[in-house]
This record gives sequence, structure tokens and C-alpha cells, in this order.
Amino acid sequence: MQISSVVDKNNLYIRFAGELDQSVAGTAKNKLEAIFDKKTYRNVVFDMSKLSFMDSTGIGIILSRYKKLRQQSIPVYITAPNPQIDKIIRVSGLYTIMPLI
Amino acid sequence: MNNRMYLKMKALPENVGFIRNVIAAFCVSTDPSVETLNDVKTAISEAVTNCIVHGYKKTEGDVSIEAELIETKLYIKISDNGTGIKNVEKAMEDFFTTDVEEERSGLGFTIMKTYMDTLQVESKLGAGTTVLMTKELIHADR
Repeated sequence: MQISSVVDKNNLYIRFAGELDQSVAGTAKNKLEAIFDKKTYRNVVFDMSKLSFMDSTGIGIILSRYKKLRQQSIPVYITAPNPQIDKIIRVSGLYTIMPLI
Repeated sequence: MNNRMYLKMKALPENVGFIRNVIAAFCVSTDPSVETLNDVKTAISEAVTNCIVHGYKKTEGDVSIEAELIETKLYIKISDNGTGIKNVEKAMEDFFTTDVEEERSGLGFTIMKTYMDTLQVESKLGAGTTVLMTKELIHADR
């Protein structure tokens, strides 16, 4: 599991790679905390292109991050999920608050 | 062909990926679609994570998996000897979680229900929880 970040034209891209489940939940939360603390941005995009698997533990992590960003009125988007990840995001109803771009 | 397997592992977060991949490999002989296999993997991941996070919390224990293939239908039983669920009906509601501080989605059972054909949960406080799921792996339209 890797998480990296890039800021491009006020957009903060968070790139997930590998599998996001309970085995990496603690590490993922810490990495996200560190990224969001340091950067300045107007929009956030979760880039799922290199993520191969995610379950509802991952949904919980993304959702809690979304709640923090919403308090600052920062829009959040999702991009490039594979079919497994696209389905779990759809079933969880996340696209209604974090549109797919 | 009918087939059967048993797996017992320490309930560790590190084992969740191994368990879902073993069950997926067990199902491959029926030649399911990639989507069906992903559905099974996701549902297993949810059930095993529940054993670790809710069943045992910070304590140690084992998670047991029994899987059976009858023709192209998967029967799977995942159990722990953990704390058990106080109110199964409540636990199965969408977004319900007892673990609010840990950033949990409360969608584990919702996903198991959506991804599998049937889901049955049996739980006894102080004794543990057993999740039974079935799924037809091959659909006629293929």
C-alpha cells in the first residue's frame, strides 16, 4: 500500500497504490494526516488508478477524510477506479458526495 | 464437481488479504467472471475484518473458514469465538457501527448482503459470531 500526493493548479491529487483494507488502515490514516496537514489546495482528487482492491475499511477512511474537507468547504472527487473499486464506491453511495471525474 | 476446504488462521489484519485470495483461488475451478470473483473477495474481506475488528477487538483469537462448492454454487461459513453481537438486526443496518472513533463506514454487512446471494448471521454474546453466505458463481447469461 502506497499513498503519494501531487499538487497541480490548486488541485491536490492523492494517489493510492496497492490494496486498501484493514491490514494497512493505520498506516493509510497516518499518511493521509501528514499529507493534508502540509499542503494548500482548493480541490482534492482521490486517484484510484493504481489501487487494485478496496473494501469498506477503505470506504471508512475516505469518508472520514471527506468529512474533514467538507468542514473547510473543499470539494472532493474520485478518478480512475478499477471495476472492483468502482462497484464498492457505487454501492456505498460515495459518488453522490464525491463525483467521479 | 463438488469440493470443500477448511482454513483456520489467527485473526490478524495481515491475514485478511491472504484469506480472501485463498477463497478466490478455491472458486476459480468453476470459471467465474472477474466481477463475481471480486464480489466474493470483497464479501470475505468484510466478514474476516468484522471478526478481527469487532469480534476480538484488541484480543487474540482465531478465525475459521469453511467453504464448499456444490457444482457452481459457493457455500461459505466464517466464524470467530469473540465477543458476539449484541443486536444482530441493528448491526446489519446500513451505516451502523459501534466503532465511531475508528473511522469505520458501517457498511460491512450491507456489502456482504449486496455482493452475495444470501447472508445469515448467527451470534451469541461472549461466544462469537458466524456468518453464512452463498453465491451462485456462474450465471446463465454467460
